[in-house]
Amino acid sequence: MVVALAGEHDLSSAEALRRSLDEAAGSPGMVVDLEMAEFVDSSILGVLVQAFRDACANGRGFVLVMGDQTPAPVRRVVGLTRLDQVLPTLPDRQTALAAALTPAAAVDDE
Amino acid sequence: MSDELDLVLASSAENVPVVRQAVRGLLDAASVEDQVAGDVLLAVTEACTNVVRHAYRDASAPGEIEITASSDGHRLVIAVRDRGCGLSPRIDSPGLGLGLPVIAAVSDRMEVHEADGGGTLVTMEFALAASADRA
Repeated sequence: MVVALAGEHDLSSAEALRRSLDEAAGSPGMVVDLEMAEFVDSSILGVLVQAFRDACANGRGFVLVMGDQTPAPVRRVVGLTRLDQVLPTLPDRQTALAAALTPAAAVDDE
Repeated sequence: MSDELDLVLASSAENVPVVRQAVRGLLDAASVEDQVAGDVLLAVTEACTNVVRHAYRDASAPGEIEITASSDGHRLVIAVRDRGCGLSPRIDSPGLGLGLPVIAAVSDRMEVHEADGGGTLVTMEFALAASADRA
């Protein structure tokens, strides 16, 4: 299951994103694609971290897609907060879909 | 860049992008370069999000966010103020606690004060040309 973010996302859309991720949680692997996201803030990163925690707890896969094509403001906040060192992050959706079939594990548990 | 901004909006999640759009208009009018503009927009968004999430959590009704921006053409100063409960620890925080660290990382100077008359005042300052040592 792929959840792709497009446009700008902040606290005003965080709850809608949370619901979308909850609905997608039934699939064995979840991919969140940031390639078309133009802006995300820490409230959105918090939703992604919670979804990753849920995936870890339930033995499901979770992979973030962020690469060179991802808009700079998104790469900026992900890099600043080092989210890409906490959540499994790959540069393209196809690779991420394959990787998401492996249950997620917190970095400290690997 | 002599434009200034003076906004007072209800403290609600829906108004966070409204503030960002208003600040973006200011930055666009001044042709601020993309990297600096991106940092300003991120910082303002984080500051407003903190107000919505924390400032009025004990209030019976949501209060307001007050945003001012001013520039001398070289530096942009943005202040985000609320009249809420002030600085206080929150063990049930709904976020990651990244708001103020992100603002500190992307701004050239940040101050957080208890505001006169109550609430919190966050002041952020940005050089309008990107510097090589910006985080």
